[in-house]
Amino acid sequence: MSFFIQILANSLVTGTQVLLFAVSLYLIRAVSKTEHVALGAIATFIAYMFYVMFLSTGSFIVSSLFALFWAIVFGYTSFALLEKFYKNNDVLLGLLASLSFGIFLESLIGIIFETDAKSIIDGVLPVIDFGLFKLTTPGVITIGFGILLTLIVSFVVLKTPYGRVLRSINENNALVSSLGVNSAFVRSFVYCLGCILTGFVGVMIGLNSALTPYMGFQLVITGFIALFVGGVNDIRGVVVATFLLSLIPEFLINYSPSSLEFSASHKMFFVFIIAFILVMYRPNGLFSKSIRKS
Amino acid sequence: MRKYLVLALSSLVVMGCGSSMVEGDGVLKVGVIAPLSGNAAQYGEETQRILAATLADINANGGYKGSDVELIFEDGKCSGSDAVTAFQKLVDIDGVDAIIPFCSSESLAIAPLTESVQMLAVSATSSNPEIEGASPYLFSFSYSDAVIGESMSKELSKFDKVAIISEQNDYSIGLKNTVEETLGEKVVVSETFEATNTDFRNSIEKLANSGADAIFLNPFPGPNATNLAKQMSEDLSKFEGVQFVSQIAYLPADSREGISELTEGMIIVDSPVLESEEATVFSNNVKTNFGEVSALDGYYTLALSDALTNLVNAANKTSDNSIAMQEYLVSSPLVGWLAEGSSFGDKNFVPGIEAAVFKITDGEAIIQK
Repeated sequence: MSFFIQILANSLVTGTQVLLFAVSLYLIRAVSKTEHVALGAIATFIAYMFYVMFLSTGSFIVSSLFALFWAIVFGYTSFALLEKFYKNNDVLLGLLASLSFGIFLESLIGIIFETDAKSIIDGVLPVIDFGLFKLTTPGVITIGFGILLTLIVSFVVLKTPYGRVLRSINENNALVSSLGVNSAFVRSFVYCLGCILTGFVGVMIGLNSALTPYMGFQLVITGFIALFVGGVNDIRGVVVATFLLSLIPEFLINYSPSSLEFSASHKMFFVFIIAFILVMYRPNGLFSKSIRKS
Repeated sequence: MRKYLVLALSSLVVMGCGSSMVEGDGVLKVGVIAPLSGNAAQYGEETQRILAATLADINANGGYKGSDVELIFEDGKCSGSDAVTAFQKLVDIDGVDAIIPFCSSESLAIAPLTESVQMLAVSATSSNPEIEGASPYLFSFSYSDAVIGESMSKELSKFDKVAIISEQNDYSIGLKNTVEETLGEKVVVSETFEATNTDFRNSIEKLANSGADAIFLNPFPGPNATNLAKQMSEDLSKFEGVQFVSQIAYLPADSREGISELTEGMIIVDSPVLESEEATVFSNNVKTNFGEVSALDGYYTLALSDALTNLVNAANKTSDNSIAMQEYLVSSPLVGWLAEGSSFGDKNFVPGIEAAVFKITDGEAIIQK
């Protein structure tokens, strides 16, 4: 039983990391119809900026503010980069631009910091004993803040006027603008929010394990898959899909018979298999209602 | 007049082209493919220092037929594809006469190319057993991983249940396969992780839950090995009574900083130790005058020195022609710290090397046998 609970707890940490990516992708898609896949590289860059400042000052607060600064910079940079593709309705070109930007950032990180893993914290991390399982402090913060932020975002999107505005921008930007809403400001705000959420994940990964230039790639890919499996317009579906894609592979790997030799390196194989199965049965999203054809 | 000038200049050009097309141009250039960036960068940097020290000795003693030997480094990143690119650049653009590859993945990737262009490659650190028979132009002054694998299996066979965690690279997978083939059903869990992975906690939990009496830690030496050990150290109560066994990843003293609780009592199987005053003087000279050497201290310092020394020796005995050097190496006695008097013969690994077994006691690696 304790093995199950510990695997579940560890998987919740990685699942929450993917969740924040998926939510960020959802928000940005909601206002700009763009899948901002560069978020993986942006999160990594922000984490490296935290690392650089922490090495210099040793202060978490100063390093966090420095990382926040970079998150806002990347938010506005992303907005500037992708806004014209949104206005021209060039969704595919926007995706390509985002992908190119992400690859450029990852390469830049590799050149500046080299590709060996870097630890923000030297030494062994202290763990918090919850009785049936143990987690590191960054792991607890990741789950706690991650789920709290997701609940707040979900509440705002689903239950508040701001959320209605956000969802309306995607459906009819012209109408929303005619009602006095500055949709460009909303988009730039959402880009910044997405970068802050994913930057938080990057920093937590750096604190919990180690930084590598390509660490954001697998997370953004899994988040991207969760977005489409869960339903691009349904945040509840995105949340559920994220945890299905994060938890099920871990349990399959850890409970498989040793003769099958499944291990951590097979994780993405299971993610894609599960995504395929879910898409086959629920092609319009996990909570989609079938639409009666007129 | 102009006609004769053009004729003379043309002749010079043709002679110049001809002399470079005729094998051997009087300058011995040795290319080195090593990981100068990435997780294994420390090994590449130390390789540069050791070879620089050896080169200084060689050139001080006449070099290649009175001229200085030249080393040209390229970054192989311990990756097959990058090694191939580096090989092509060294051969086609730099015109090297021989190559020293570092990682097994680099050596195996360039093996077919060494045969097709007849370029001699002598490694000091490539140990994957697949190097044996890979190319008649590829040799290694390292021991084969099969030697380490056999000794590792011998140590692990003392236990009823063994768990393994390995990084996905040629070196670690080669060792894992040897151990699994030998131990058979004694291996209850065998986890692998990609080199880009940084969170091993679920894999560690699987190891702890396996009920193994011994765990073989098999990451590639470097930051991943440190990261794995740190995450295992977060809760050592899970591993009470479990014997940890590993390879070179945790042998250097600096690789055990901050994880002494985990590594105390660990058994490590690695290259043998050469007890020789001259060898110690050479090793100290490298550290004092060329920079810190910790990961490649001991056997590999001497093996790297032997690789370059034997390449230059073969060239001096024949010419700076790769084919002639290769023929010399397979048929003549070798020189150097480790290989003195032995010969490659029809093998690709230098014969007669056995593994050493260490145990970490009070933070020090003490040789057991």
